[in-house]
Amino acid sequence: MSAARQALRPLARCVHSAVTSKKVASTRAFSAASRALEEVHVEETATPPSPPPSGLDPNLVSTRREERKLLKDQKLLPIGSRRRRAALHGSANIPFEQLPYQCFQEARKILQADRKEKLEQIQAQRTRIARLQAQEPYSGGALEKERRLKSMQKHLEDLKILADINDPMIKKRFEDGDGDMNRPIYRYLADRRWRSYKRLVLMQRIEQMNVIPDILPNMDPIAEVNLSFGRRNVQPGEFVDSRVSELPGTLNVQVFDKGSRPVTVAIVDADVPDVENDRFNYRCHFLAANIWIAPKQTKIHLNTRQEDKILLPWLPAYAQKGSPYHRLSIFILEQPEGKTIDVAEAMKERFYKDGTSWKVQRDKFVLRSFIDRHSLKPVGITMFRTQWDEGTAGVMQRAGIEGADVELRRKRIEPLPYKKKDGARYR
Amino acid sequence: MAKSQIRYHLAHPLTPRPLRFSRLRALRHWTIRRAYNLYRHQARRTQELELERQYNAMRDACEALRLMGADGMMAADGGSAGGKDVGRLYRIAMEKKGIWEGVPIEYARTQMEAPPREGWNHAWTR
Repeated sequence: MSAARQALRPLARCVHSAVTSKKVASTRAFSAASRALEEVHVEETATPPSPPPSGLDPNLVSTRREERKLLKDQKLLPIGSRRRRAALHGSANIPFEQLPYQCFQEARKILQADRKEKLEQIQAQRTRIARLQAQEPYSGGALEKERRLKSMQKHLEDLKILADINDPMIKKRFEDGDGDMNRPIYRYLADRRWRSYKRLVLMQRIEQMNVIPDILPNMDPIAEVNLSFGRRNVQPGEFVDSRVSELPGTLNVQVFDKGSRPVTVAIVDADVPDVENDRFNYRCHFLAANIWIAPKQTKIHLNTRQEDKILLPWLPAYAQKGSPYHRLSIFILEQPEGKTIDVAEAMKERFYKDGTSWKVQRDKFVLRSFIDRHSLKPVGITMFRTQWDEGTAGVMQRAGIEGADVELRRKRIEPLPYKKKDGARYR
Repeated sequence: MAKSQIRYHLAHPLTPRPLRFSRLRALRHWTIRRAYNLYRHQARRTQELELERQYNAMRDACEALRLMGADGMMAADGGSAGGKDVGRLYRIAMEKKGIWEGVPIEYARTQMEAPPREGWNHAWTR
């Protein structure tokens, strides 16, 4: 018998006796609630922890011998500490909601009553909305009807969240990462968590590094975007080795409102040196449209090769030697009203009356024009940085990009003529 | 020595020790906390509604008194219309006579740290 189990034996016995006495309902150890109600609970609690179908349970093994056996026979590692497993071994497996603490149970009763009330309100609101929709010639006019419907819908969404916000199991499931993003409450909690820290960091990075006025005039991100290259997760604004970003990565776009929608993904480098004009320019590293995302459909693979989606395939991020670091920003642009963009049409050159023309191309890609052209709405953003490192030359060579042998130098500014004063005055 | 010992043991940190709970214990604590907050909110709400109801009832009663004639009938209901008796009970109810008996008259105005900028409003008329 292991030390942990030995130490826990008296405690386990104590818990056991409390539970068995509850089973026969002769003494009432914790609860002062009515006996009839307690018996209802007992009916539910009486199910003993089911033994694992075969052999040992990784949650319950608590001796070294059992652990070894588990590893050998079932190729499983034990879960949690040995102390915890020993404690679990000796305790009845009561579900969290039925833990026999009086104050806790009273609190749950209050919360459940509130939830019931909220569900009734939701039902009432639904019928109200249906009734309003059925009123065909609405007395206030179509615009007013639409406005009222919108506000009623918003109230309904609020009620849905209020009905579930006080549920401890929902909080637990969300904290464990088991939340179903199709349910509004989990989307709400995820949004709140994102806005409490990650979004603040993201906004600080894109504002301090001037992505916001340089590429787009302003932006209000409403979707969480995470970039990763293989197994390397990239924080917003991080320097990424050029060998890491050589192969296209993966975007994880989490939206917090319901429904599936097509988006356009654009990756724009805002720091391409333009030596002739002595300025910097834009370059598009990736452009794809008509990618459908939803609360549970979050992955976007940048190596996609579908003809109806890709406008410009992935170009590895690189910075020529001597140029300052390049900011590569990734934009998620929502397409209007779920419409898809015709890729072949979008790639055609357009001519204007004043003789100018505009075309989607890598160099001098202006995202603002593209957004205006297709009436897109920016919803998500993230960025990373790249600079010349020891792998860049190889990356450029493999991608067939010229200029790896060029080193950019700042123009030497001739010092102003300075007449040296005679040393006598400094004496 | 003894004094510093006493002082040492009587000193307490300004903030209490943070609650250190296990996962489920913390979750139970959270549940109880939420329920208590909800209960307080509901209690406050019912209290506010009750106050509002009482205020509305008093206002309606005063309005009825104001419109009531000498025979206890409203002018609209065919009671004695006009005359000095209309609203007599209302005027009596609104009298401020004697309400400061036993209370210092200074309390008729909210007490301030300093006298007002404008000491007397000469333009005021009823």
